[in-house]
Order: sequence, then structure tokens, then C-alpha cells
Amino acid sequence: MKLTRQRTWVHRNEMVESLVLEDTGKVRFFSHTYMGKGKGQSWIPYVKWDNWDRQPHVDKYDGTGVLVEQKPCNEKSLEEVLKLVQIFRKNLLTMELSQL
Amino acid sequence: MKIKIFKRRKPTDIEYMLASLAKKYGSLNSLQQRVQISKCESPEQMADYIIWRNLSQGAEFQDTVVVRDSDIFEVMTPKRMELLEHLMKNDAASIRTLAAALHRNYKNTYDDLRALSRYDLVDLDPHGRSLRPAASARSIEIVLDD
Repeated sequence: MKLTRQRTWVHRNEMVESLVLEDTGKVRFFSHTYMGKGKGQSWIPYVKWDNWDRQPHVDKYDGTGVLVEQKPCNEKSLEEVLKLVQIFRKNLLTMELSQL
Repeated sequence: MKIKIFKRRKPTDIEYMLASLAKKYGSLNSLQQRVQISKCESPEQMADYIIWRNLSQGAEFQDTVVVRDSDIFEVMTPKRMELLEHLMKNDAASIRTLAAALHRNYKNTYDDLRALSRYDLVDLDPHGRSLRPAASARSIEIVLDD
């Protein structure tokens, strides 16, 4: 088993935290969370792609950390998520993410 | 361009991480229940659960930080690199002992450590009433063709 955590700073006070669990080269679990630093210096999630319960889905948060939407979507690699975040950044919160 | 920081994870660091999780949540079972009930409401709890479950089962752990912001070069001044090198080779019980070892004043040392910790180059772990500084980076790689 290999657990990889990668935190990628995409902008000042914004990062994507990725957690990937691999077993003999196969991805068993992934979670890629785009988040920003709140006023109290704590990290607030904006959008998260993961396969918790083996169901790939995307979660959208309201900007204060409250989960507001969960929709199924295709599995996403960290590279794909970073590309989306770098292009759309906070506009992701108003987009139809399950179609991307 | 991106700067890739490979974090140093010694067995004692893993033990410390697991102990911190136990202190935060009580037991792995109670955290598992919380995560199952709340589903994806808290990404932090889910990540903590995955880390705790797998590291306690002996999974290999690779921890990296990638910075695409060239502001990091403002943080990596010669004085701070000297401080980082010192921490790589020596343990420091507190910021005060580190400042004394480097013949620097407390405030400047504290400010430098805070700046380095912003990019995870050092860890500042609470130890009693003080903070214990430790180098958390094993290597720093600058990737130009990205």
C-alpha cells in the first residue's frame, strides 16, 4: 500500500490537497480538494472530487465550508483537477461540475 | 515552473502523526463512524481517517508540497536557508534554543520559522507552552519545464 499526499499551492492562500491510496499500482482511493484560507487562517473546502464508498463524485461547498451539492462524476486524476482549478478557480462553485 | 518540496517523514514523525490523531478523535473507530455518518461534509475528517487507517497498517507514505507561486523565492533567503540547514542537522528543543545556537535574536528567528512554515519547509509542533521547530523538507526540486 502506498499513500501519497500532495499539497499544491495554486494561488496565494489557495491549494489543492490530494490524497491517493494505491495498492499494487491500482488507485483504491482518491480525494482532491480545492480549498482556500479563511479569515481565521483555517482551510475552507470549495470543491472536492473523491471516490469514497467506491463511487466517484464531486462535492461542492458553499464558500464557508458547508456541503451544498454532491453529484456523481467520472474519476479525476490530480492533473485533471489542477487543470480545472487553474482555469476556472472560484468560478467552479457556480459551474456544473459533474459534466466536466 | 514549479517547486516541489519532498517532506521528510521519519518513523518518529509517523508515530507523532498517529498520536496527534488519537488525541484529536479518540479512536480510529469513532472517527470511522463520524466519517460514515457525515459522508463528505468534512474533507479534513475523511483525509484524517484515510491517513490514520493506512499508516497504522504500515502503508508507505509520500508527502509532497508543490508551489507554483514564485513568491516562494522571497521566503528562501540565505539566512533562512542557513536556519533550515541547521535544523536538518540538529534538533532544537524550542525556538529560543535554536535562536541561541544560531546567535540570533528570538523575534527574527521566530519570524523566519513562520515564513518557512507557510510552505511546509519547517514544522512547528506545540511542546508544552513552547513550539518545537523541526525541518520537514528532505529535498527541494525546481522544475523549469512545466
